[in-house]
Amino acid sequence: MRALVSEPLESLSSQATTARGDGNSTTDADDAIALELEDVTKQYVTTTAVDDVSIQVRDGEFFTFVGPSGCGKTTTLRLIAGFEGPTAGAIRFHGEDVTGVPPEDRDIGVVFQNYALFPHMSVAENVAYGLNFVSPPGGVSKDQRVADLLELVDLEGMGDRDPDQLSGGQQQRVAIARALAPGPDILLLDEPMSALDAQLRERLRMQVKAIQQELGITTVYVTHDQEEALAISDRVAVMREGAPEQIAPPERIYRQPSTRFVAEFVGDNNVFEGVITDIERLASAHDSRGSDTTHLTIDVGEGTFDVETSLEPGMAAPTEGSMATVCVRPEHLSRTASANQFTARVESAEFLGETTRVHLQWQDQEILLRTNDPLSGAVTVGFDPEAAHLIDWQ
Amino acid sequence: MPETGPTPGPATGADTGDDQASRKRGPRRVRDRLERRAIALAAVGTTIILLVMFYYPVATVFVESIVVDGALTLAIFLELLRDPFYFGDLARLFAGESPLAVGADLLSSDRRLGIVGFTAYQAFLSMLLSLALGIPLAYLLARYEFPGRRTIRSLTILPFVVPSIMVAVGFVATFGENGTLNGVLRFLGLPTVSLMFSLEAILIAHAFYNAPLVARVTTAAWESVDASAIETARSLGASPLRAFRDVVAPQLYPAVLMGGALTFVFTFGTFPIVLALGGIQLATVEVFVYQLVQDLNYAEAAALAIVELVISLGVLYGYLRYEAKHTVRSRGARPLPRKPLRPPALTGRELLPRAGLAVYGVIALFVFVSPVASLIYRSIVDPGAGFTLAHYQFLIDRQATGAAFQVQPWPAIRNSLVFAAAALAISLPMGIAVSVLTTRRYRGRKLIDVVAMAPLAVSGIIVGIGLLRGPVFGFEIGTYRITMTGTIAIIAAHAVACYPFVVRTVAPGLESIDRSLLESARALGASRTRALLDVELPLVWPGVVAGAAFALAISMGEFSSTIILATGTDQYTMPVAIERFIGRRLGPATAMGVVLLVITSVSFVVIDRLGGESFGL
Repeated sequence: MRALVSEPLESLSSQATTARGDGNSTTDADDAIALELEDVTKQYVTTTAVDDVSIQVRDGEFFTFVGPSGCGKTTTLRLIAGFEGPTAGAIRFHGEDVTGVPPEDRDIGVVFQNYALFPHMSVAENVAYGLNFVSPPGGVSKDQRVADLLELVDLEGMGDRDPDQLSGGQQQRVAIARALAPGPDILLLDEPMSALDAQLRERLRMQVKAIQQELGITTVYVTHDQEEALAISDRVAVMREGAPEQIAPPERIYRQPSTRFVAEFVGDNNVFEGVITDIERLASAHDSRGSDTTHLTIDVGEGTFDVETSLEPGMAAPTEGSMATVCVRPEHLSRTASANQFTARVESAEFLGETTRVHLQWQDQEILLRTNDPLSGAVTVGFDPEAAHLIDWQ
Repeated sequence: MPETGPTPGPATGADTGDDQASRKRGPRRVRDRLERRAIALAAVGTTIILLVMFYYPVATVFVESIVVDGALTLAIFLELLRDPFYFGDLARLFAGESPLAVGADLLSSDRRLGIVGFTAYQAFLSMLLSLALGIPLAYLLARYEFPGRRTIRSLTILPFVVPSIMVAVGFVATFGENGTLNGVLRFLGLPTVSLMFSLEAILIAHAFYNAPLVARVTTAAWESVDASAIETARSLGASPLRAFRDVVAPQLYPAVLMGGALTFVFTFGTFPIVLALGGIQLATVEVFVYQLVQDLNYAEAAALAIVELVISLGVLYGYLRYEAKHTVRSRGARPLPRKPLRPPALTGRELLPRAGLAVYGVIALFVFVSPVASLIYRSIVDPGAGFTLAHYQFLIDRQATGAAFQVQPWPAIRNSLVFAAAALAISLPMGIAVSVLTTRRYRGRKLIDVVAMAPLAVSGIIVGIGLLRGPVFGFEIGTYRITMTGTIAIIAAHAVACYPFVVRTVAPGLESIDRSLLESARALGASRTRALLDVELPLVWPGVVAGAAFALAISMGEFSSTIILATGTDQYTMPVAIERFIGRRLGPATAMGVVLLVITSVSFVVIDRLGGESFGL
């Protein structure tokens, strides 16, 4: 089993649209670049679906494209698969240019949202289909390979069934087995859980992750569900209007969004803007990467916020008088925090079960708060300076 | 699960080295190259066949009509337009007379229509009659539930497979001097009627042919009306009649117009029915073109055929322009509930429409059923002599006594079968190739669609003349003279006429296949051709079989181009033989008509069971 990639590629996570990996810097064979997109653009008659994207995916990595509909994530996957050709740019598998190579020669496995099982073939015939064109890996027989794959996806003994006799989750597992059977180089999954109900979705994504780790197969995953993306991926690219806004491991995407779009797309967030009135650099002990932690005082209109933040690599140190954009997660707002207090009016509340999401009105802005207490009228909330994250300044 | 599972993936991901490469790239490459080109090759083959067997011959006709003695001229066209024989009083307009005088004469009772005018006139009347007979049928099929409704609904596809010459025989058998109608009248002691060689006979035959088409498209539109739209109108205060006028009718107009436009175009280009039922005094354009070809007057025949083509295409174009603007067909989420045919209450409101339908039923029985019944009846019963199988015996007798130039029955049957089999063998791959090419999305797809579907719009007469004057007559490449035999020309004409129907049954199926099925196959290593053979064709197999049945039926019934290419040769087919027999020996004609009826009925059953619903019209 392959170890989870623990460290992000710094150079990849910093500046999204011009991201360049430094795959040469490592000698570890496992960290070889399995898939590379270089300046890839896909234009249609009226729209640019993918806009100058450069991305590197390491061997064995679970890489996810996430974003709202129309952000170009599926088109990117289709370009990788070879179903469509890029208008400009190059796509490489293990350093080899495959830009003009048809899909059948790319050694890929593809899983679609709607399963796309061949309805006129049995489950076993579906799984065996790709073995018509290559001999099974590992020198086993075709039947053995099919049996192994069905066992892998927990469908042993179901080979003789017709696809329409299976449930949606089972069908999707057949599709995964079928995609894996020829032993592809790269597994591509296009919103594979979207057609399933919530419970099944969570179970299946655990299975997908487990299978991926067991096989160590390079996997590119597309989803619009940011929670799913965070749960399953080694690294996530948050896409917007044809280009990635940020490419980073899930934790980093969640804790240190590099743009306002990422901050607001991934989970609930409260984004504040204000003028920096004071800057103080701290010698920090709790930043593991050794980057500077900076203390900012920001004037947000009704009062000021104190924010302690580590700067994103590559981000210039902020200057006094410039506009800062910071974010604070709803779970970090509390009525007991002593710092950064402000008073807001309760607008509405949604009971979510383990917690209640409260919508507050403060200045011209909606504030989200997570709490278990019934609230009404005016409430005073605050947050620790460390809980805030500086997204950007200018 | 994965913890206890096997590890089927030692060759997955981690080792992507030489092992994997050699596993994938091997002898497969060479075979692949051919396989990969298969669709492209089929497309090239289709293009060549279309060019040589359709566009080149049609271009030949066109050139023949504008080039006289090597000089480019419109003289033939101008002469045509100014000739009252063709254009009646309108010709004087083209000749430069005052529109007022011509208009006045046209309104007077002794106007002259000319051949083109008469053709348009009968087409217009045929259209009205077809609408009058088709719309009540659509009403019945869309709004009432009764046993046999589905059968009648699927029977409306018959006009596409029934050979028109068979319809003509049926009408002669019904309305002829010794037809069943007069037989019944005599039996009842009533005076006999003479409907043969009259406009009425032609119109009824045209309605027999086209009313089902009108009913088919109108029923489809009516069934797609969403019940909740009407319920909304009613809830807003509209009476049932008002709701019909405001909600249902606007959704029916485009379909009715489509049926009308197609009927006009089909009957404007009518040939076998008029040839058999009209006689020369009621000649339409196509009949006269045929006459001119018989007289070896090719230039004038070509010019007249072009005039006909221009008028037909003009009507079609006008209709398509209208359709583009008025596509209101909403896929009814919830269709209108059907009423039982048996009246639930004896009130005027329930009884009146059903009484109307009863009257319609009697008329429909007369128009639609009697010709087919008469055809079968007359093939086994001789007036005066009673039951006989002599006419069928005649079909298989080899007729050693007949003169060589006479049309003999057995060769006609044999030729029909051979030509149909050959046309099927060519049109099926052509149709599949074009279907594949036109269901993929790319720039210029519409153009390819139009170019590939053009044979549907061009009359068989033009293709026939073109093949005769072009490839059959021969063309020179260097010092070689390349000629095509009549047999190949007839098969080509049939294949070109048949394959659009294969496209119409196969393409909708291909279009509806989820793109990701094809892409899954490709990602798993299948070439485009393999994916077509392994995934797409098995899924649209019913459509392919239905397309084949269509092709067979259409080839069997093809008349226009065959009669031009087969005249004076021994390559005549059953429809040609029937036309020859009609005037002289009705018995054999009806027997042969029954043979055609059986073959087309089998085709119909196949189409109906397998692909009727997806047929794109």
